Amino acid sequence: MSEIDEIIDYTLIDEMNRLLQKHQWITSYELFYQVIEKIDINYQNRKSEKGKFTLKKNRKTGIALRALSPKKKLFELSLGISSLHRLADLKEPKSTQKSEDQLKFLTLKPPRMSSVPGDNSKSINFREETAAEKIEELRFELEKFDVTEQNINLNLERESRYLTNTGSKGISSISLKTHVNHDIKFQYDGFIQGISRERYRRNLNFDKKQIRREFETILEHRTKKLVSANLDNVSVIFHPQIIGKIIAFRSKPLISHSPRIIKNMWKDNIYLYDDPLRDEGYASILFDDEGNLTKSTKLIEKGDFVNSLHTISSSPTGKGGNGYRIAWFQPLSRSYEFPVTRSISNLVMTGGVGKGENFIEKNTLSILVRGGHGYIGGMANNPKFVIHANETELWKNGECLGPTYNYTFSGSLNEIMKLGDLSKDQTQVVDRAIPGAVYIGWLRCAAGIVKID
Amino acid sequence: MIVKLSILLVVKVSFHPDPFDHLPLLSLLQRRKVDFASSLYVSKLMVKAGINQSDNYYFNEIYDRGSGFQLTVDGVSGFHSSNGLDEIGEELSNLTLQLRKRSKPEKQDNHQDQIDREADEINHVDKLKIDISKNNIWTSNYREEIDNYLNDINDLVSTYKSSMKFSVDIEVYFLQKRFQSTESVDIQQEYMYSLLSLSAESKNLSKPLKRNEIIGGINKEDLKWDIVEAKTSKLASELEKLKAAPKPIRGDYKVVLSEDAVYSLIHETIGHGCEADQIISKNSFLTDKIGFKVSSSNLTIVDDPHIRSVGWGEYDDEGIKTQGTLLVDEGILSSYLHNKETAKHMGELSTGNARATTYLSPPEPRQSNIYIEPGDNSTQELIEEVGTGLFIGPSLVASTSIYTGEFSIESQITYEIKNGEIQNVLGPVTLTGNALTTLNELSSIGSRPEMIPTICLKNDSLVFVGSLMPQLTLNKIAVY
Repeated sequence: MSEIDEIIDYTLIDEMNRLLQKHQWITSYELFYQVIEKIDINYQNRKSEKGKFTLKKNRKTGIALRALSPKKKLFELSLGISSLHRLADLKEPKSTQKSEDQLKFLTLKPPRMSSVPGDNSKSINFREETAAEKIEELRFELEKFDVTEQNINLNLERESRYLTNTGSKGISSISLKTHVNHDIKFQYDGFIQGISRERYRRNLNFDKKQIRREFETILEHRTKKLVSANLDNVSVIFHPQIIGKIIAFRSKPLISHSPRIIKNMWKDNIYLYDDPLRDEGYASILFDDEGNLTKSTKLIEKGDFVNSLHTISSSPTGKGGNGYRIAWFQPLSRSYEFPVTRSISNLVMTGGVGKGENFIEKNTLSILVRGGHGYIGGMANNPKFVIHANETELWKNGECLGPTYNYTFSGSLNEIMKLGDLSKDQTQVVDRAIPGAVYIGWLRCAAGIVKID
Repeated sequence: MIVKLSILLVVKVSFHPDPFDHLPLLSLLQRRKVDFASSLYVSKLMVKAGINQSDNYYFNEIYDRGSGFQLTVDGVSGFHSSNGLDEIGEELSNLTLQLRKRSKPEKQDNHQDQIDREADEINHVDKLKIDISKNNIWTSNYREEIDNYLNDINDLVSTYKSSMKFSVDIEVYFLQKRFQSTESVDIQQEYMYSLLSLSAESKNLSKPLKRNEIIGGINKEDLKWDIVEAKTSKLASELEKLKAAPKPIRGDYKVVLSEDAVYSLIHETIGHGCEADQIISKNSFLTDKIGFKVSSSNLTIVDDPHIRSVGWGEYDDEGIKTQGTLLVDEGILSSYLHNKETAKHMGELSTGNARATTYLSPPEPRQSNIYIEPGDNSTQELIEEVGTGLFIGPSLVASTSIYTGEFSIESQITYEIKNGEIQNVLGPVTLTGNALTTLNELSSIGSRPEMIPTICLKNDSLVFVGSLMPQLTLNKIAVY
């Protein structure tokens, strides 16, 4: 018996099918069954205090039902596992409700692969002990620095899903997502500062040495004196964690745009794809939440916007492929509780040149923006961004001079994507507030393109 | 003689089945020598219905119930939640063992002795039940009622649909919570609230503009028809004005902030900054600032769960009786918002601010209903005081860095103030600044606060927060 067969209750699903078939008014239906299990372990170590563990575990099982009446009126219901008795009492939608003429449940086909490449859901022992052992492995010391507190949080999420509809045999998949957050507070020059780094994977292959090296480099830069620069002559380099989030926030209006082509939106070397089958892609998935087998979609080609993403209902051809049940308030969460809406999976930007780190090494004077929070808004056809940086460094001729002030960076997204230079390397960018993952390089903007206050 | 008999028929409207009783399970855990165990059962029926911009009607119901258990074993904390009852006992036993391992590994050898040792039973517990759903907006016939309500609103907005795209969304939450613990506590609370979101977007694709408003709460009065009519009319007329509105030049301005913009500023900065879990982890710019001046001295901010709005609760989600908490007292930072864990850590009492949206996460310190003590000034007086500047309308989105106190707020609409009067409509702007600097630029406070239901997201958890804020003026703020 495979791992997924132990998790999915096929007997219960058969019972639900029998119950649904008793409703005379239902001509066709789709049943989405999902089990989400999470293990979260946190280790907190404060100077002169004993290390402290916290362990959380949760499991949520439920279904989402979509049913069509003879007049194509849609009925939707989501239920947790201890409330499935409500399936016995389903009311036909009112005749005044608009018909869903386009919605037709697909003939489901099994995915070509048994799992996303790089996903270890089938080989991992999904238990607290696994998480506890891993978090012990990921602890490290930074002796050169005055570290006052270290927090490591490791989260494992296993999702098992089964989708069936009238006329199709069900399809299933199982997936693993992991997330580790290292948060370090250190003292320098009388002040406590904090740095955190997150990593997202489809397995537990976190490289402790790489994480430790990254922290050592950052702390070396941060433990220099604060420096300032003449802002008129400085170029701005956005780390992928910044530009990736801006692009992802922008993705919703972008993919919902009408299908007409928009020319010259960005620089003519830029391509942007939605790729749900990327190897080890954090948001990679074999079939979307409507049962469509997923495939890559080109969104931007040579700077022109050429394609949107669709659900079955929104697609001009009725085909879909990008329908996901995402939480509007936390798009990275996907669950049976939420309705299907169109969304990105892995956004991949290509067309850049060279390595990102060469930007800071080869520029005369530049501000590197590594971290910050902000907002993207403005008009749909000319989105603006405002970023309050909380991690910036001043670089000159390949040398880090030190951290700079927490400036505010603002400007037009289309302008920086037209005039800026993109690097070829791709860094993964994932955040709770964005619905998938972004794979993108660094972006360098010459002096004057981005406003700095 | 005809005698009329009046029979009063009391019909209890119940949207929930009987809640789970976890006291036997907690009792068993206590016998296994856990330091403390509690359960929070949540039953939630959510209805989401609406009419979108393409005139498509939707009606979804989501129903789920489950329980979250918090355990402390030898000083180590754990949490387990599930919406299925199968294997819950086994899962909790396993969790207990795991927590024991994390604290004192040598105890693994004699945990069996601990199980067999006698322990006190949980004392007899009287269940306390609080149900304010009697003043429900909706009855057991809620499907038809919501449907009719939506259709009425759709008729109301249809007059504007020639020039703008309208969408109407309603969310109704029927909630039942039961908190039980090894400290002989058993409290059940039942309530419901409704949120109506009206959203309008211009039809001009080259310059699409948006305005939205949210109304609602836990009382019938919160969704009164005259409020809906007034908001719809205001929304539509402002969107029309926005079509020709220029953007103000960026720079520093004197401003009047609308009630909604005030909420965004206060909630994001002082509100989140005072949540004690952020204080303990030194992630807040308000860490170690009790007793410090954080704003001008005419500002007093209170968190109060007793206000009948979406942040209501007689008891919090750890069974603690709630209270009003004075966060800022005439400009001085006075208190943080605690749950039991943070209060213990800081040697204080819980303020009763432990909130969990669902059974899936342990309760954390969260705001409930937050308000500013109103001042004496009418809107006209505030505008006259500014003289030349901006009136900042409702916000679209706000964000903050709790660590530094930097914030940004995007407004949906702005008005130019000239010679002490509202002159022209201007487009959306973004305000940015640092909370401590900005709040010290506060000049005057309005006299008429407005109640607004709002949504607050923190980590994985979404709660609703009530806002009762007046308008206020700032001497200076950066505008983009």
